[in-house]
Amino acid sequence: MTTTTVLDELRSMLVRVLDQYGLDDLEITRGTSFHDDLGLESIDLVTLGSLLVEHYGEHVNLAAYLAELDLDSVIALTVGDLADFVIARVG
Amino acid sequence: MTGVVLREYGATGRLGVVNPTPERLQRAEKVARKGRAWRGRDDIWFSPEPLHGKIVFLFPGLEAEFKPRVEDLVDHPLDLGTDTVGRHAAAVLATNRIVDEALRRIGIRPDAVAGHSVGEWSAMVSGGLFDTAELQELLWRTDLDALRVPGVEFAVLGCPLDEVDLHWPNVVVSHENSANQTVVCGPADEIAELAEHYRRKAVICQVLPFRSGFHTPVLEPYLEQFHIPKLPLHPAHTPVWSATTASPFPTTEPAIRDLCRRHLLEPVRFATLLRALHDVGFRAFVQVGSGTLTSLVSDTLRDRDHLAVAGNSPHRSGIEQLRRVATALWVEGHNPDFSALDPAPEPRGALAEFQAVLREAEAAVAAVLDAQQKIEVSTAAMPHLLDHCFAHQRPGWPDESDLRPVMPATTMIAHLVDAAGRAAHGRVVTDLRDVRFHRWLVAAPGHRVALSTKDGRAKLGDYADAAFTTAQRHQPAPRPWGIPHDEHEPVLPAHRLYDERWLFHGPGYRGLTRTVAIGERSIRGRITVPGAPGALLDNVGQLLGHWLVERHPARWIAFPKSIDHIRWYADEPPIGSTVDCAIRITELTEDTVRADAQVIRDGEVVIAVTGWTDHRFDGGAEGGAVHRFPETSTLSRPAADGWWQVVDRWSLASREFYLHKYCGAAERAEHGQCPPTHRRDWLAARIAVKDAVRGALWRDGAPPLFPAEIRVRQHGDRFTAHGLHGLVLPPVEVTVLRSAAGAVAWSACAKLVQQQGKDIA
Repeated sequence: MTTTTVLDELRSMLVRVLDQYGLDDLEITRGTSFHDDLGLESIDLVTLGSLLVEHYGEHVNLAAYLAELDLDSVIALTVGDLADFVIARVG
Repeated sequence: MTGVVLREYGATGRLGVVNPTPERLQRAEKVARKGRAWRGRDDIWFSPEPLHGKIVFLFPGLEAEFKPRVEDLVDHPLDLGTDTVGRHAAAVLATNRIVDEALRRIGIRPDAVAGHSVGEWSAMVSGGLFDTAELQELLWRTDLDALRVPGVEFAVLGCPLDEVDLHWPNVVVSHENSANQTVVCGPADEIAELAEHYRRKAVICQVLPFRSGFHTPVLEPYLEQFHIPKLPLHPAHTPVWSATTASPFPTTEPAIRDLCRRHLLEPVRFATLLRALHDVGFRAFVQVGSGTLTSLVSDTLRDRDHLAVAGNSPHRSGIEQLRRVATALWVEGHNPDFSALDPAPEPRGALAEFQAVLREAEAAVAAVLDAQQKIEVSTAAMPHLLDHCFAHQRPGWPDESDLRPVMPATTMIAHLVDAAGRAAHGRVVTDLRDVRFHRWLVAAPGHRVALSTKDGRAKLGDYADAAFTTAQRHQPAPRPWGIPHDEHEPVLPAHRLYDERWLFHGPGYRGLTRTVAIGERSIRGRITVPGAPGALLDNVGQLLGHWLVERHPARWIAFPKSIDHIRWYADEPPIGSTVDCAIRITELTEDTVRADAQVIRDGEVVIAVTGWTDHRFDGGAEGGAVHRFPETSTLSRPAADGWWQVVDRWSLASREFYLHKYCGAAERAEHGQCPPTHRRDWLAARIAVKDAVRGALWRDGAPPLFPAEIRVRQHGDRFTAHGLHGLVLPPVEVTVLRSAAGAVAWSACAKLVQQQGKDIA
């Protein structure tokens, strides 16, 4: 699985997560930060987490991944970080 | 100014944009056209059907992250430290009150108030149940940090309340935050186990960085220390809703005091409260303070029409965030007072105030109109651009895009000056500085380009921009330069520059009537101002071109890249008038030539230019010949045995230049689809094939042939050539040899292998 594929898949999930805020022409790159750039709060990560499981299966466990991070790292999390995590889990 | 743009869409729709940059307005227009509500992203708010409805103020409680921005909302210093739970709570309450008061100052008033956790005390103050001064006094009297609380922990779970299974004896639910978020509370060891358990189930679980046991029964033994439920009560002026009962506070004193107690011991049912508020007509949920309540609102009311907006944000100043709240509410049909957002310079009467509001509205509208101005760039709207085509083609050539009509840099300057003049309201544009030309503005196919001004810079799409200065009148003119000592007669008279296509300009831009004298580092000429916009300065550039043609004939093709400074000392001389022009070359390198210039009329300097910088194109003698006479020239050279060889040592800009000389629209589209790494090879092969074919035909007595008249097709290793737009060619097959990838000088050799059915290889 390539980074590009994963980024594309994450992009379409984020569009779904954020649609309620009226976001539908979203530019997402590896450097896009969930908190600062997308304005995601922890509650949005919940939705994203269930989309990840739905798409990749139970072993892509966002909750376990977040548990390893301290609060500052969660806030600084980028789309690229998440893509790397997904690739590592999916292999 | 407010920077709020208000525009009515249809009968009911409203669109609001804060800080309307041209890009943002463009996006806003798109949003409005789509007709779907858009609430706040990129500072755009759009509501096709304003929600109207009631407004509720929601006050945040303690959250993991607390980044208030209220310095500009108060005129005294604040202590908003959060290093202990007590100080954190005091800071949250202070911030909530400051934002509450600021919102009311701009005419935003709630129909009800409520709070999350200790934010409910703020709601009680805001609604009138508590007196601000009395609560403040109590907070001052109480050493909040001395309060003893149970050492229990909170964990936030990313799942709905009904999916929370509590297998631990001492863990209880403390907050039902939103549709998908629940907070539980319990002893540290049990919370740790619980966190592990939920993470295994892929439920997001965060342990909060403070301990208190609020909103759970374990607080009961400590309750006596809390004096808040004992504060004097007053009649509410605004309904206060309780998150404990998800309904309005009761009205009798004992019932209110009882609810205050329960608030500390029972779960916060925030999601239920939000649904109950929505049920009775609340549509605007304003977070009054610093926090993340808006995301709880959006999560809970996901499928219902609502506006969630934060009254304070870590991303911008207090005032700036209020501006966004006001815009958001206006868009939903409310009526905030925008004028109160900007500090009044002096006390004003009602009339002055009204006029100020009107002026602001006018300025906002003018800003939009300016920012939204677009010009049509096409040969129909700007026929003069047909006099500025980069690629010659056979007369009557049907595809305009193959002619490559390009807006001259100096015509872009004319548009930038126009835009600056409109923004200047009657003042004259005296200077352009830092004029930059970013890319070719091609007019075929036609398109619309935004022309705008902002912060003293004029901008023509992303093609060109410049800083401008305006003034009441022009500056006094300097003296014209003296005449250089090394001048001599030019070899080429001005008319031959056009006749022999050293300059490719058509009548609208042809203004050089006489080149007077040329020197080692200078040239002087006479210009009769032609009719196309920007043509006068274009002729300054053409005169510089003449200097290059005569002094540096091996590398004479050049186009403007930037200009440091242009100053006008008078209005531009009118079309048809005759002016003198003097140019001094200040720098010459392989890639660029820089010059200063004066345009002089009747002995007076009218325009002075410094740092005019041209990019010089490479391509040698063949390049120059193909530029002037593509129909009889080739970039390739004939070699032994009928081979034609082209060597590409060009820069990217030159290569693009030759692409348009050699390839028609269909071939350029094919080139565009090539991966960038293959384009150099692709173009070299096309050039060699076209030159080999033309060479063979000329040898047999054929007339001049433009490269674009020949369409090359590749079939695996074979290349065939066909005539386009009326040219009939015999069937031709061409073989091509290419240099290895990565070579510095890319080369391709082409040779006809078959013509009219017979092998000639």
